[in-house]
Amino acid sequence: MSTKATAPVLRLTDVHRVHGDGEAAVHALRGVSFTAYAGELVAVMGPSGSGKSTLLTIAGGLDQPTSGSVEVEGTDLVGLSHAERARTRRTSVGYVFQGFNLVPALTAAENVALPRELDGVRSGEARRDALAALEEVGIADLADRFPDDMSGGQQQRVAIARAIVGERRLVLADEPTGALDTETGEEILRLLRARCDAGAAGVLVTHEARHAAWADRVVFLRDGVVVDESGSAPVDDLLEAGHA
Amino acid sequence: MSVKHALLSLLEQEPMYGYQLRQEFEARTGGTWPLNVGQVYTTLTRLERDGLVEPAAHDETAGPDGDDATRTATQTQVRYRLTDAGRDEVATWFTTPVTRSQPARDELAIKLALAVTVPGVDVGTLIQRQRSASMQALQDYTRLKRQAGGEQERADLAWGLVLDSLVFAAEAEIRWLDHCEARLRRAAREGSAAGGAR
Ligand SMILES: Nc1ncnc2c1ncn2[C@@H]1O[C@H](COP(=O)(O)OP(=O)(O)OP(=O)(O)O)[C@@H](O)[C@H]1O
Ligand SMILES: [Mg+2]
Repeated sequence: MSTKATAPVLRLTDVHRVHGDGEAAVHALRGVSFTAYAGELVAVMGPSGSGKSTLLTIAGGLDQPTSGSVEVEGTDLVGLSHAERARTRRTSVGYVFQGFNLVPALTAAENVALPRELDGVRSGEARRDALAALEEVGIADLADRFPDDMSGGQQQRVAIARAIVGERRLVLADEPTGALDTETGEEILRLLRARCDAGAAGVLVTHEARHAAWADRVVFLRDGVVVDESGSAPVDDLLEAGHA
Repeated sequence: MSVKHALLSLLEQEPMYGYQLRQEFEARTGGTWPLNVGQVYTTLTRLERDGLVEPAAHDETAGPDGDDATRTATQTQVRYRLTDAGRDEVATWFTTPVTRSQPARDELAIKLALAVTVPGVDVGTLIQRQRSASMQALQDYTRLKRQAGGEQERADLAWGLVLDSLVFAAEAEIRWLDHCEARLRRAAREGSAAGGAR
C-alpha cells in the first residue's frame, strides 16, 4: 500500500515492560518492535497473558515501557511529562477498552463527548462531535440513553464512537468484539475498517481469527515476543474463477 | 459434493439448458467449486436415464432412444425440466441432513499427528507456519467479503454465505492450531516436570 511511504502513526521500538520486581517480576514484553501506518489496520493475536493488553496500553500512553521508545505521530511519548502525555493521548489516540468502560451515569452522547470536553472543546461543539460519531457507528437514535439501558452490542458501539470522536489518528481497540454475536462483531470490524480506510491507523487486539482477518497485517505475540506476522496477497490468487 | 442434487434443485426454479445450469450454479457459489461443462452434461444424461429430468420441449433432433454420442452432440440444445420423481428427490435432499459418516481425509490433521510422533520435527514452527498461512487465507476471504457489495440479489446472498462458510472453516483451523499449541506446551511442561517421561 502506498501509505507505507508516509511516517508511521505509531512506532514501538524494542519495548520491554516488566511488571513488579525481584522474584515476582513478570516480563510482559521482551523487545517488541511494532509499527502502524496511516490507513492501516493491524491485528495483534496471541494467547491469554502473551502481553497484548500491555502492548496496547503502552501504545496508547496509558502505561510506560520499562525500556524502549513509543512514538505517536513522531512524538516520543516516553520523553513527555505526564500532562503532555495525557494531552497527546486525548487528542490523537482513541482507545476501546477490553470491557466497554462507559460511565454509567452519563448518556451515550455524554460518554462520547467526554474526551472532547477534556480536550477543552466547548460543550455545544463536543456534543455535535459526539452525535456525528454516534451517527457513524449507526446509533444516533440512542444518543440520550444510558449504558444500562442498552444491549452489549450497542454499548460497544458507544465505546467505539468515543474512541473515534474528533478525528483521532490512532485507534486502539482491545477485544472490541468481546461477547458479541458473529454478525454484530462483524459490524464493529466494518466500523474500525472504515475508519482506517478513511486514514486513521488502527490496532486491534483479538483472539478471534475471523476478526483479525479484517486487518491488513496480523502480528502474533507469544510470551511478550512477536513471533510472526502475516500480510496479505492479492485477492485474485485466491479463487481461480473468482467472483470479483 | 453432489452435483446431481445441485442441478436438480436449480431445475426446481425453471427448466434450463446445460450451460445455464452451470452459470446459475457458479453465480450462487462464486466459482468456489468450478463445474466443467462435461460434468454437467454427463450428470444430466444420468438424471434423464433415472427418470428425474426430461427434455422440456420436444423440438430436438435426437429422439429419446438415440445413442449416447448423438445425444451428447445435441444436448446443448435441450432444455431440461424436473419430472415428478425429480421434484421428490429435491424435496428429500433439502429435508435430509448432510451426513459425514467417514471424516474426509485431512492432510493437516494427519501431518500434525505424524509430526508429534516422528522424532526431530519442530512442531512449534510447523504450527506457526500453518497458522500464518491459514490466517493469510482468512484475510483473503475477508477481503473478498468486503468487495462483495450489497445482497439485494438472491445469488449475491448465496455467494456471501458460501464465503462465510470458508471463513468459518479457516477460523476453525486456526483455533484448532492454537489449541494444539497450548496442549503441546502443557505436555512439554508436564513432561519435563515428570523427568522427561512420555
Ligand atoms: N499490573 C500488572 N502487574 C503484574 N503483572 C501484570 C500486570 N499487568 C499484566 N501483568 C502480567 O503481564 C502478562 C501480560 O498481560 P496482558 O494483560 O498484557 O496479557 P493479554 O495478552 O492481554 O492477555 P488476555 O488475552 O488474557 O487479555 C501477564 O502475565 C500478566 O499477568
Ligand atoms: Mg488483554
